Amino acid sequence: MVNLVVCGVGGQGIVLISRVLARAAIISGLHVTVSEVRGLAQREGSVSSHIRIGDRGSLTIAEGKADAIVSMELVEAARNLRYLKKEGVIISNDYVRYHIPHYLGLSRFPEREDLIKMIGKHKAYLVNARKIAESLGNIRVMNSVMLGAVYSTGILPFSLKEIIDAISESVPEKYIDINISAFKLGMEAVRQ
Amino acid sequence: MKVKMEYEEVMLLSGNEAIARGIYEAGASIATGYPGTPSSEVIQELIKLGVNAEWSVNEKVAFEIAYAAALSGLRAAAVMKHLGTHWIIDPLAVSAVTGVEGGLLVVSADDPYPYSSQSSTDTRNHARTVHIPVFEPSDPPEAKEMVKLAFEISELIKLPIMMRYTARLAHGSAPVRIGSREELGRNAEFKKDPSRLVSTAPNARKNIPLIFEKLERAKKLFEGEPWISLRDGSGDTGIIASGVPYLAAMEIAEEMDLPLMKISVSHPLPEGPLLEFISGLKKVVVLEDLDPIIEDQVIILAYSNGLKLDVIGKRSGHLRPYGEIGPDEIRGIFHQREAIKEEIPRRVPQLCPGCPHRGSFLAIKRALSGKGIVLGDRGCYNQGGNPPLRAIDTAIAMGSSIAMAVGLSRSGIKEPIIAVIGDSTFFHAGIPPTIEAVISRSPIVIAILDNSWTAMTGHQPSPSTGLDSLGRPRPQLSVENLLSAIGIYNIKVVDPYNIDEGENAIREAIIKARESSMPSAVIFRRECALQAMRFGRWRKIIAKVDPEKCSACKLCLTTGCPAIHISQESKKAEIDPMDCIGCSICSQICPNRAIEVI
Repeated sequence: MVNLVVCGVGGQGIVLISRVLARAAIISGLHVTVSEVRGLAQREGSVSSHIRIGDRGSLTIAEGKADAIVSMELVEAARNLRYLKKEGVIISNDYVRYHIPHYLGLSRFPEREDLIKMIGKHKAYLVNARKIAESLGNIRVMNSVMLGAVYSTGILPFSLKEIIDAISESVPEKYIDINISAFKLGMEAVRQ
Repeated sequence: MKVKMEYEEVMLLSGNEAIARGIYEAGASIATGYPGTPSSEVIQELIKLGVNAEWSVNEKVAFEIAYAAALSGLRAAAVMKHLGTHWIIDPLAVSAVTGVEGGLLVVSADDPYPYSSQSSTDTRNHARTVHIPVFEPSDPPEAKEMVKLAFEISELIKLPIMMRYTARLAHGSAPVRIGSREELGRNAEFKKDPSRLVSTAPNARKNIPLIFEKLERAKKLFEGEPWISLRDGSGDTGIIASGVPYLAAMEIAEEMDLPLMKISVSHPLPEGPLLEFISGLKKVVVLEDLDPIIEDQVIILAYSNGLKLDVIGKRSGHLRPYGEIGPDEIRGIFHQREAIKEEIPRRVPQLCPGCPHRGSFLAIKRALSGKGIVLGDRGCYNQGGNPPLRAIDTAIAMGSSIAMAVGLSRSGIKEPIIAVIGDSTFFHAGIPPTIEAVISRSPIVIAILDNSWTAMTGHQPSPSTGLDSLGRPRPQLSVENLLSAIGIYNIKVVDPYNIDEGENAIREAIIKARESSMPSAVIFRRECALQAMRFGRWRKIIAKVDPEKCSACKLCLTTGCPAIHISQESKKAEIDPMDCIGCSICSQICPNRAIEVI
């Protein structure tokens, strides 16, 4: 059983990452469940998905049982740390999204350096997904960059072909090539 | 326990999609509902599948449409969130008394945590109140099959069936084997039967006993698979579980080798097999979402059969009587659990960039300048109650804003009282309290935020949209015509993107209400920004901050627009061009005229 927490802020495309991972599981003939917490996705809320690949079981991951946290944002990566195993991996986009009460001093988030310290207690990879996506000329492919980064850590029970097929089936046809390029650059980013 | 699936015949479906698929495959002719997270995707999916499904004006109307279809021999489903289920108890109770011809299914989505509800209630209680069976699926494949069985059993015993599921299942996906639609070839035929369908008290007295005969029959049906299933284990501690908690219980039962009984129907409870299960145990853990309904019945069953059984659950204090039952709560019963402290503050949701409600709220706040009471309602505009905007003082139930405004006025509150309600909520539950406001001569202001969609739940059409769910034209209701028909004469329609205009309209409305001892109304009309962008009715432009003019006063941030940030270096405002759509609200607020829309 592989347990993944995918998280971020509403509008960052968490649903697409979950959909690709679940699709890849189905293509490789593995059982998979995805449990999403949404509702305020378009309105700056925290979003997360629990993905469990391999067996039937609880829809949600128990605390301390996740093999990896995949986050589009550092505050959300830190928020979900309680789910991570001691030897678990964090793959996070190197980006902090503050909410307005933070700027107004009403409800402050930790600063980037503190967040990195928090997640640094585990094996962590930071990826500048925005920069990589911008280099391809489309910021919307940040999710595929993250997927590539996750894939290269070796925690996903899929072959390269299976996950690339899953991406191709999950994005509109005219964006397949750019998403696969983004995926490959994401893989490179972690290897370096 | 490895599940190997053939790639071709399975689809990854959420609980909502699986329920829709079940309704479709069962050959249901009519599906109705009112949008509400977590249930909204069921009707949306049925519309895609081509079933005769459409959003109704509210849940009670939705249920009564489905009920009539079932009386005419068709299979019908009414789908709603728990708060909507509260609205249908009256006709639902009568439908149990009259019985049905075609299968009638009420799908009720509870929200135990709650993620997106103002209260958290267990609607299984409603099924027990009106004496109909209630089914509780655990995962998407089971939900689909259970829906199909529900129609069959409903037709067999001639009672409506409720299916209670929870937010976790609604938005939880798993591979589901797809089947084809059962073509029933039925035509609606309404058979007159006044001794049943004219449910006067004497007729009801005659028909009520039949409900209990039907329930007894149902109970016998539920005494085997798939309504109960068993896992053998060692020792004298067992687990009884229903719904989503069953999935986590299954993992723990495997780990600890405990006997486990799954119950998929909590009313009427299959007592025979249950008694057999608990007879061999000294201790039993009961796991179910929300109220201890199965747990209480286990306690009664054990007591009335003279069993000495330790029942662990909510009554024993091992589990909280609220919230979700997840793997951590269950593990906490068996093992010491580390207390986790939340170090990171909650992310506060905001109105979207370009949301017209932002302008409406700023206009109201300015007009009131700290005085007055603003009663909110249910919809996107709830985000306007969050900091920094903090523009509403209440958010209770559908339509409560107007009725509570009347209540405050009658109580003698002298400050200006403003009820703020969206268009879809106004049609759902705002019309009777508006009538009340007129006949009680309440000097309140009704502010209708008309964005022409049921936006919060994913942009379903509202009666003010003028289109149905497939985008076909239909009658478009006018809020102002309704208000004036009810007897409100001071009505002003304004553009929420113009704060000054809105502010003046609210000021005037307060004065006119007071002078005439009658309610007045302001309609803030502008289409939801997301929809306007989607359909090309608003072309994205961008606001820019001139750093020379910006004094870093942060006033623009008090609008709660997520497109505005503070630069780490200059500490001045900057606007993210990705998020901004150019509504100009921040530029109207800026005291230094540092924001320009280009």
